[in-house]
Amino acid sequence: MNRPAFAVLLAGLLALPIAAPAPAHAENGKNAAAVAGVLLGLALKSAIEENRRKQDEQRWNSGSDRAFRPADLPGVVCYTRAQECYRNNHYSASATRSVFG
Amino acid sequence: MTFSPVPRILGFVVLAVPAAAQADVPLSVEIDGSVSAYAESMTEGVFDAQTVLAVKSLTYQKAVAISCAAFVVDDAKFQESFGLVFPPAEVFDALPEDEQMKIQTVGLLTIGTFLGMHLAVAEADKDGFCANAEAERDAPQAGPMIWMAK
Repeated sequence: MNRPAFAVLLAGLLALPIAAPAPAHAENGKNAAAVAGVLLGLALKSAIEENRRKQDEQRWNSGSDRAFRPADLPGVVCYTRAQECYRNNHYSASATRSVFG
Repeated sequence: MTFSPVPRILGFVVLAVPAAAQADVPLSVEIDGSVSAYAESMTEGVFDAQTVLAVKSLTYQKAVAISCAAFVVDDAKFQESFGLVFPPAEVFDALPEDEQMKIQTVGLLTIGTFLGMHLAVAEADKDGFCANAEAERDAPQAGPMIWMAK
């Protein structure tokens, strides 16, 4: 798990004692447990989604990826980190295979 | 992943596109790159990178046959190719039921994700999409083709 995702999870866990009311009665205790469960679920969901989004960004980020034009493949642009090639702005399986193996 | 990009990439370093030009990444490339990254992330732990790439290539060819008049898919080759991409029957049948469900569900999602993406890209620029498909058909490194002569 990367740092921001862990931070989200941690923030959710830290919020639990604040969100749950003091267990003066048994019913309050049950409610607190339910609230805690929902919050933990939401925190986990956010953490997973955040983690996935970060992973996707690491795989594809045209702003930071290095693009290059293979000399022997006219009209083709390839992206180093994504390991994908495009001919005239369209996906090229052949160029991708040729350049990245 | 068995890609070994380093040797070829080294030869291309001097031809790298200037960073400023990368601000103008075409929408079709952004869509392909983003959706492919999502598909790779979605299939993690279920399919390896080569399988995902094979599904991308097969669905691309299917989308070309749907979008471009000059192409038609050989159904027998299409089925045979998918049979090679996913686990063979004897392996699949021996898996626990929840594993089978996972492979089927993620497999269908991957096919749908890629096919939808290719069709959307084709719709935005049909002439360019079909011209590229012609070049793909003639390329020496094209890999497994499921198109038949028309």
